[in-house]
Amino acid sequence: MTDPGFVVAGYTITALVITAYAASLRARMRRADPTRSLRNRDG
Amino acid sequence: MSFASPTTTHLAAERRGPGLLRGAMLVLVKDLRIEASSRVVTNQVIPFAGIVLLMFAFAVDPARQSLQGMAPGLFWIAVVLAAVLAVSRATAVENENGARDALRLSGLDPAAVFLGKVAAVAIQLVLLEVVLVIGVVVLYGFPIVAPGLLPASAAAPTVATAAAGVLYATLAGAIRSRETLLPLLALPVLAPVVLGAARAWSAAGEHSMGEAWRWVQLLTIFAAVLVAFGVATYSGLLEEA
Amino acid sequence: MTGWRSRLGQLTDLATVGALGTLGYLALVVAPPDAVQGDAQRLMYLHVPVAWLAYLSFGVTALASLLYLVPATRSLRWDLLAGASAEIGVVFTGLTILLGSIWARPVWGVWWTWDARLVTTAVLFFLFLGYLALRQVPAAPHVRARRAAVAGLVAVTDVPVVHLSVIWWRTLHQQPTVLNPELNPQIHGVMATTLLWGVVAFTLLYVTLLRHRYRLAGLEEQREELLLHQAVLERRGIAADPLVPVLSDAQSLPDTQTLSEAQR
Repeated sequence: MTDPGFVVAGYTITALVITAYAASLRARMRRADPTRSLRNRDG
Repeated sequence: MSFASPTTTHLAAERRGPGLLRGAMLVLVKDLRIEASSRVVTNQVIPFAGIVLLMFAFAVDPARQSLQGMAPGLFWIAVVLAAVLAVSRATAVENENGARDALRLSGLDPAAVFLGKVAAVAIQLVLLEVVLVIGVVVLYGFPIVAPGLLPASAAAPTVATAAAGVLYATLAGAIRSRETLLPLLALPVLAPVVLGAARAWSAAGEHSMGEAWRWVQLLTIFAAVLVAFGVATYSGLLEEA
Repeated sequence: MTGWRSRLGQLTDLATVGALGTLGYLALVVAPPDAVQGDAQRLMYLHVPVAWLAYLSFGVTALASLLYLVPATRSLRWDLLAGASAEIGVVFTGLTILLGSIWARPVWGVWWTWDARLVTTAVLFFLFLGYLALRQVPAAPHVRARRAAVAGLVAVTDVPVVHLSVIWWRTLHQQPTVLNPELNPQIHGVMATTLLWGVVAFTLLYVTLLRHRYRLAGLEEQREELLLHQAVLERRGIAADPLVPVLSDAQSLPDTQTLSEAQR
């Protein structure tokens, strides 16, 4: 891999990690929503 | 906000326990008695450390030279792994039959309980280390060049290992996944112990005493910090249901 | 949640996205390639701010743990904050190591080296993985909080000792071969600005993530309580349809703020 390859990889991975973490927060937030969670548990 | 329940406050007021050192002695003697009758460390933990020592030799070139160089590091890894098992056992005893409650209600200063348990674990570790030193000398051909430095530099890492072990084992307390959680918690904290103690012994082997003492100093400070931390926080940890 | 608060929150979210986007532009387009390291040096504009974010997170965890342990300031809020910050810290410590590796490969020629900062960061990563595992063990809120606070503080106390011992380990035995921290003593003005901007952008990212993660911690706590409450009702056989009373309770507990107040 040449230098630009490493740079692209680094920036892509960073973007992916941040996006994935934000998405996981959002998903968990939805799951933890008290008005939803109990219904989800049953169905 | 006060977190103490009415009963504990009451007991604290009534507390007429023995002093710190006497309390620690009582716990120390109690733990050693339990070990004397159960023989978990002598019959299970020490043999475990022995087989670890043997397995390390399988993993590396059996030529004596490389084993000799690695002996201090392998020795301390074996000690730390065995120590995690030993403290797990030492606190498992405390979690059975409501023994923790009994300890809490005994009127002993929690700091004394902590010091006593650390001393008990440290004594058992010393026993383990004696056996393992014989092991590395015989199996790995580790030369003992400074007989005085060996015990002196083993003291601080032993106390640090015991303190961190007791602290974390109490934290992991009655948790069902204790056996897996404890190593994950304790091993990274003990990283400086393995590193420092192994370096100190290697340095002693190379006759660079100044370097060895520098490590001993660092490890002494580390041990002191861990013990102070345990003394300061143990009462809270012991109160847990 | 009051209107200005959520509005401010949205603004922070937007500002964070904007700041990160600007950083990408500055780092990849505006800043010149480094004389020695070439393009690989652009990874520093991420690596340094990400590492800063990770250390900041653990610093906040330590502080919050301490505040929890001191009886005068004891509150479950500090515990939730410590947990929220530690999780972000672990994610970004992992990213720091990853980015460091990707940078080290073209510049130093290796993915990993036993440099003090690297080793300390790796140990830190494992220390806080353990911390998060400990937090996941079910327990009464104050029991868990106390365990976590002690573990968090021990972990942070461990860091300087690890760092010092690795420095000694390396310097006393082998001279560092690949690492030369003074690789790039003169930093171009634009480069310095970009790096500084990176630190600002990632600090903003930390604030944003922490805000959401802390709110999530509150919600999860609330949910635990509701499930417990529901289980108790079912056990007692009081509620034929347990959802009805519990849900009306749930709606009367609007947000984290009130919950923490209630718990105090």
